[in-house]
Amino acid sequence: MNPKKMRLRSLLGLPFALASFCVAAQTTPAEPPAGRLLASNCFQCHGYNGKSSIGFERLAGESSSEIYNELREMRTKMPPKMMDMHARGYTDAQMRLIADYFAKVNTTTTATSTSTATATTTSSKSYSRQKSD
Amino acid sequence: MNRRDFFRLASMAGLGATAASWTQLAGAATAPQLGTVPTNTGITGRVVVIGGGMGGASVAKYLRLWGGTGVSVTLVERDSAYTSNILSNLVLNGQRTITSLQYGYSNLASRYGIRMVKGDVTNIDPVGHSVSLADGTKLPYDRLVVAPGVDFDLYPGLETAAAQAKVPHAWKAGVQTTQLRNMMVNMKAGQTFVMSIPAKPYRCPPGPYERACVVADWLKKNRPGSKVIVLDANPGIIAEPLAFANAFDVVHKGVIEYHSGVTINSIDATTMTLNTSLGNLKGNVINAIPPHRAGKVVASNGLANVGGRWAGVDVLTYQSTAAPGVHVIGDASATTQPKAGHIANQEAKICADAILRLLSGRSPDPSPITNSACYSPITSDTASWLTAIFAYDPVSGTMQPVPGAAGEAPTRSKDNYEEMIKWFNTLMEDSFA
Repeated sequence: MNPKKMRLRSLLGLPFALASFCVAAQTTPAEPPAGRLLASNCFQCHGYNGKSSIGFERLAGESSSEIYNELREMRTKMPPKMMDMHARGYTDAQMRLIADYFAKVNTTTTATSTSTATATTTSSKSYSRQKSD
Repeated sequence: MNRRDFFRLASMAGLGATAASWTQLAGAATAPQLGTVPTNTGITGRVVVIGGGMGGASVAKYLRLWGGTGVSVTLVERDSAYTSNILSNLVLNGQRTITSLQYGYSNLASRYGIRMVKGDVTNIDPVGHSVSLADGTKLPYDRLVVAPGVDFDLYPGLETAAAQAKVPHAWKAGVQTTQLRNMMVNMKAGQTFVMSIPAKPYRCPPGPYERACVVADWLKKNRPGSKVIVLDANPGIIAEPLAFANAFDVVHKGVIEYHSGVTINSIDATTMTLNTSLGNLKGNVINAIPPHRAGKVVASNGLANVGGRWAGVDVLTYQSTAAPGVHVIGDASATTQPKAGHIANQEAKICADAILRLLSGRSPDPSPITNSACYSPITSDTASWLTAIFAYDPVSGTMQPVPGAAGEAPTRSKDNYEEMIKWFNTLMEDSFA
C-alpha cells in the first residue's frame, strides 16, 4: 500500500479512536464461512465448533463424510431419539454444508485440533455404540 | 477480580474505550474449546445489548466470536448474575439449589471482551441511536439488541407485594422459586397444591406440566395423600401431550388432578382461595403462573406492536417491525417459535450473523434454521424430551416447523434424565462460558 494513503487513513481514523481498525475497514469484510450459521444449531449440545468436552459427542476431528453419513443414518432410525428427530430437519444440501463446516473449521484451527484428537476418537466411539443400541 | 470490581472497572472504562483495550480483554484466559475473538474481520460497529439472559448473553458472545475485535459489544444487565429458569423446577424437589443455577458475566467480559454495564434502561432513542440508563449514562449504538425476557400480568387480588409473596408464580427463577420450595416443604400430608397455567404464549411451553410432575413426585414420597390441582387456561396440554397425559393418568395417578379451559377471575391471598370458572377453590399452597408479556422495556419504547404485548420482528434479522436498527430476540419477540432458552440462543446466533452481515453491507442469510430442544423431568430420575426444527418460509415470512422433524420422546427414561443434565450444561456453556 502507498504510504501516503496509509497516513491519510490513519488520520481519518483518529476521531473514532479506532485507528488500527480503520485501515482494515477499507477492505470488504470476507463473506461468513458457508454453513456456519446452520452448523451453529449444533453448538448448544456439541459445543462451539463441535469442540465441547463436557457433553455430547465432539464433532471436532471428524471428517465431513463421517458427519454427513451419521446424519443420514439418523434420519431413518425408529423410534427416533432426540438427535434422530433433529437430523430429519435438514435437507441433504444443508447436511453437507454442516458437515463441511465442522471438518473445515477444525482443520484450519491448528492449535487445538492436535491436542484434542485422542479425546475425540474416544467419545465418537462411545457415542456410536450408544446410538446402535 | 470480583464482580463488583469488574463493574467498577467497566464503568470507569467509559465510552472512550478503544479497540485496543477490547483486544487486551479478549486475549485473557480463553479456554481453547470455547473459541477466541478474531483480531480483525474487517467488520466494525457498536452494538448495545439490553438483557443478559439466554438470548442477550448468546448474542453478545457470538457478535464478538464471529465479528472480531472491530465490533464493540456492550451488554446492559441489572442483575449481577443470570439465574437459569431451565432446571429451576428441580429447586422445588430439592435436587438443585438456586445458586447452582446462577451464571455470572465474568467469562463474557474476560474471554470475549464484552463490556458489561450494570444498570436499568430508561429510554431507547431509535432515531438518535442511543440507550439511556437510570444513572444518566448514554450508550450510543449502530445496532441495538433488546432481550429483556418476559414480564407478568397481575391476577386481581395479587396487587400488593404481601399478596404476591403468599402466592408466588416462581416463573422467573430466583427468590420466589425458593419461597415456593419452602411452602411445599411446610405442607402436611393430605394437603393441596394448586397451580395455574396461563393461555399461550408463555415462557417454556412444557414447563408448567413438568412442574406439576416434579411437585407430585415429591409430595407422593414426602407428604402422602397430598394433591396437585392443575388449572390450565388452555384447551388441553399444549406441549408433550403424550408424556404428560401418561404422567397425569398413570405415573402420578391419584396425585395430579388436571383441568383444562379454566379461567382464573381473582385470587384471595388471605383466605388462599381462587375464584375460577369452575367455582371457588382453596389451596394450602397456590402457585399461580400469570399471563405473560414482553419485558417492560419493549412496551415502554413503542416496540410492543403485536397485541400490545410482544415485539413484532422480521425473523431474518430479528429487527423490530416498529423501529429500524433495533432487534428483539428471545421470549419478548412475537414469532411462531416457542418462548424458551434453547431457541433464544439460536435466535441470538441468527441475529448476530445478520447484524454482522448488515454492518458489512451484506444481506442477511435468506434461509435461517432454528432448533428448539428441551428435556422435562417427570420424576426425580426420569425425563421426557421435545424437539422441533424451524425453517424460514419466504411466502409467509415466518419460521415454520419442518414436517417430520418435530416430536416428543416415545417414553420417559433414566437415560433422558442423564441427557437432560448434559444438555443443560452444554447449553449454558454455549451461552455464558
